Amino acid sequence: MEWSRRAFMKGSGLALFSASFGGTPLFLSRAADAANNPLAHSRRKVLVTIFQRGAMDGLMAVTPFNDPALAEARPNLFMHLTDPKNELTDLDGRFALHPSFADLAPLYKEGRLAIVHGVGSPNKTRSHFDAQDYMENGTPGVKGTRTGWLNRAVGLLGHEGTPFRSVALTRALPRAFYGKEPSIAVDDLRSFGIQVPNNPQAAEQVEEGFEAMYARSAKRLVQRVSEESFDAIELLEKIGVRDYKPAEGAKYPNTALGRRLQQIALLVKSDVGLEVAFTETGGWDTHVQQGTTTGSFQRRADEMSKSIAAFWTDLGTYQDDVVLMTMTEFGRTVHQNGSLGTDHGRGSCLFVLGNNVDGGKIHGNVPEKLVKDALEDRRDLPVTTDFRSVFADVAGKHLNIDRSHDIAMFPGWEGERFKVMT
Amino acid sequence: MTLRFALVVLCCGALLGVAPANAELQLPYKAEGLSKEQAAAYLLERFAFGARPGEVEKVAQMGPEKWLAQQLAGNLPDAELDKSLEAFPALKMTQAEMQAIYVQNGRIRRILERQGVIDAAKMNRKEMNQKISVYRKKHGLLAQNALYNKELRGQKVMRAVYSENQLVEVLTDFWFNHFNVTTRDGGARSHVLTYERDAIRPNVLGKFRTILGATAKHPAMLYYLDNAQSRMASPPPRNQPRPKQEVASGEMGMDGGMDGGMMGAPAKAQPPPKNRRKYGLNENYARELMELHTLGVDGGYTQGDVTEVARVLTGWAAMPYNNARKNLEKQIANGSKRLIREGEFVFRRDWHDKKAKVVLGEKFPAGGGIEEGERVLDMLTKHPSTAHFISTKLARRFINDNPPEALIERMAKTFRKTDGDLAAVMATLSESREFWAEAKKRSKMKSPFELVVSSLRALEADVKNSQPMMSWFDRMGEPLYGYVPPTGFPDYAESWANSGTLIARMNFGIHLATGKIRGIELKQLSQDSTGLTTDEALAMYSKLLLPAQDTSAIASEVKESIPADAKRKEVQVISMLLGSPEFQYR
Repeated sequence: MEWSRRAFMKGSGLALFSASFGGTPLFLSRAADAANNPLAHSRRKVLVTIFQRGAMDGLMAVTPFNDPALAEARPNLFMHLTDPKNELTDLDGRFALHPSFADLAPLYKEGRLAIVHGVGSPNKTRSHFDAQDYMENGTPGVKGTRTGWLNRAVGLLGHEGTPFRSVALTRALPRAFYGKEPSIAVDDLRSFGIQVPNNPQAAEQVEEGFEAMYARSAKRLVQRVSEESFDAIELLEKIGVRDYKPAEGAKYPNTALGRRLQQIALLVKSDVGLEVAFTETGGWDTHVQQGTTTGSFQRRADEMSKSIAAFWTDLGTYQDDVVLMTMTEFGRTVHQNGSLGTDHGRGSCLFVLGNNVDGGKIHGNVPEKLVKDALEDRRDLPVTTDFRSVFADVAGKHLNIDRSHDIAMFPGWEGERFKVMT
Repeated sequence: MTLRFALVVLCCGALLGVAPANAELQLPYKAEGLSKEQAAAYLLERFAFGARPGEVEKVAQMGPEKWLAQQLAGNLPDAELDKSLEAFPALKMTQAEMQAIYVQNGRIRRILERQGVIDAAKMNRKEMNQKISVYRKKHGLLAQNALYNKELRGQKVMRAVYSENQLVEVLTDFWFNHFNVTTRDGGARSHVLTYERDAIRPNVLGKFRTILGATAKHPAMLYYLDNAQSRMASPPPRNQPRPKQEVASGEMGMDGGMDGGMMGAPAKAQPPPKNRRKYGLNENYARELMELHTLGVDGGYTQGDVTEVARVLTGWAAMPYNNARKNLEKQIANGSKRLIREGEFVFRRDWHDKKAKVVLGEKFPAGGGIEEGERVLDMLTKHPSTAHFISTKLARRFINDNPPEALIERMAKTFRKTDGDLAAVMATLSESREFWAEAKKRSKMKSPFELVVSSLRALEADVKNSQPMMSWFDRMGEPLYGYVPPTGFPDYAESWANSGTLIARMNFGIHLATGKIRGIELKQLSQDSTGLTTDEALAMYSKLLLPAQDTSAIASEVKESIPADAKRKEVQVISMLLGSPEFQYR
């Protein structure tokens, strides 16, 4: 990508620079900018993805509370609707939301949140590594695929991007972002910049030194990339990444995921050209003492739902531009194991949140009774929906990628999109 | 060696137009306008991980030809390194010993559950962990991730910084990446140390066929690309197909690469499926064997060849580590004809597809066994596409991102004539005008690993603990042993330089110079030195970091960026030089 510095500075970036100097409220200058400059990057559609590493137990997150077969298979883990201490949220008379996902219930009731149940990969691997690899490269069963599906999606957008087009709030570049489209991977946006330990005042001078040095470099690649980098650093300073105050009512948990989603919200609201964001949450591999209303599952669910709910509130008027989708590599066994946990399974569920989502519904197919004969390999929630059909619909519709490009987004896949967007 | 045999070797060498190993190398650096010092500095950037203080002069004095010949022999004594490697006990263990000592909590917990020491229904996690750590202490067990996070990564850094056999380390980095596997794969991770130690490093200056065979048979590759579970496709199962077992489930069960929040291993191994045999061909290894390891993507094979090679390789598996191991060992001891064991590799005739096959037009009659796979590896080694593909990748690493085709052709010719002698191919490369013409351009971007190691060598780092440094590799875009796809890290500048990683490179230099990377002390930076002026510091450190080069332009830029009243100017000088565009290239 030959990102044009001038186009970027003339677009949203410049608006922000003047806003921060002149004290004009951001949203006003943004609106003015968008009105005056049709080339501005402002208000791009943004797809935010969260990978739940470790395989979330979809049957606990969104539980078929009437199923006696599940109750029998999980004597210690089944959650009865009638037990008041469970505080389940009945979604549709058949499924209920785990209490720690309660912050998502209002979004479901408002019709913004959709759940797809029984989703997973056509490849039967129960290895975390293989399944995550396949879900991120988008080619189940084929390991050699060099690129990630989100990078390919970005390549199909058909317009220029800024350095913030594709951002992963992760420590290392995620597999889904591998490919020729440039991405930024950074654990914490506050650390994106020149850092002089114990002497932050010196950082500016060192930064200027490097900037001048690279600007004069005959190595054209690093000359260009450094120019982008220093512009990006400057922009992050202007949008106030260090002292960002979320919108009123947005209470992010003080955790890695909370911070990461908060920073994604900031990027969205700052019109820096973000279009695809990725982050992740770990610890879903609940083999031991999974728990119900307390325990390892509950802690992860609580962090995740509070983070997402805060993110959504924080977006404010930007909600129209954003769709958030979760994913996990597979589900867990229907039966609990001997350590009061669950083992690697097949189907799980995922969440899609956005104003253009066919929400307030549980999509997909889950057997009426989770008896052995109804299970995949007689042990797991069957995969009834190919994750690619959901990803293609969400990314395709939200980012305006034509159906004819689905084969480029997911090489080797010729299925139909699974309708989860309106 | 008898005289007659020696003559035959010499004659063959002469006939083939290939220099025998003992012939003097001809390095045309003078023709490219380089002094001996410049040639030495260039060699140390390309065939080593950069120069240590005084090393350019040393190499120039002994002669670049002699230095390179030593490197191509790869057998200099390495006492200092060997001593520092004693900190990594796994390096001296067999795979089976490692498997017994480096174990996950989950495995211990299952043992304790069976013994009734742990009761998951009654104990909280803290109590369980306490029981586990008592058990660890009693039996001298170490954490499994110490094996691949601490020892594997640590030894890589130590060897690269301190080994006298620098070319062996550079090539180990290259060939590991060529035959990539990763510790992020739960099945492969505990085998990656022996993979590099046994399959890669000893073979980087030998025959290509040897390294190809060693990787093909190593459990790390067998698990990573699934050949360990590839079996004949039929007959149709009588029952419902069984799930794939969580491959040696004790070894999996991590959440696959997320940076935190591991919950430990599976509580219980899956109940063993009644029908253990799972039929089904897996083509992953067969495909990458041709596409990535030998022929190259346009190397002249078809999807049909992929399937046929996968069938040839059915039964190429790894010795398991659960109860099945004892069972197999017993069968082998009893002289079973169904099993052929070589170390941790095992050929299982009962999994092998015995029907006839056709690979790249050659017929394989029905009833074959392990020799079919060996024959395919021979064929692939001899195939002209392999010579060309390997030469291209080596030239890209050692010359530039778009190496000249004429040189690749000459390297490929050497490859073909020497039966894939990798040292001979490197000699051809080093003797080419094309190689030396690059010296003044310095157009090859350093990988993050090369950047770090060249910094540590130039500043004479005393690496007491390399662990605090590891996260820098992640930030700069090269998590060690952490590249997931089988391609390995792409070897061109665009893939290393993006907005995030370039800034991380600058920050790495600052942190190293200011002593903020724990575990590392720079001997070339005296801790109490306060006396250097900017000019003195520039004179000293530009010579160390960018030896035998004209550094006047960069020196004036660095000077501009340092205020006259700055304290410890040498620290700032080093920071700026390490982060400079010049130092990102070799």
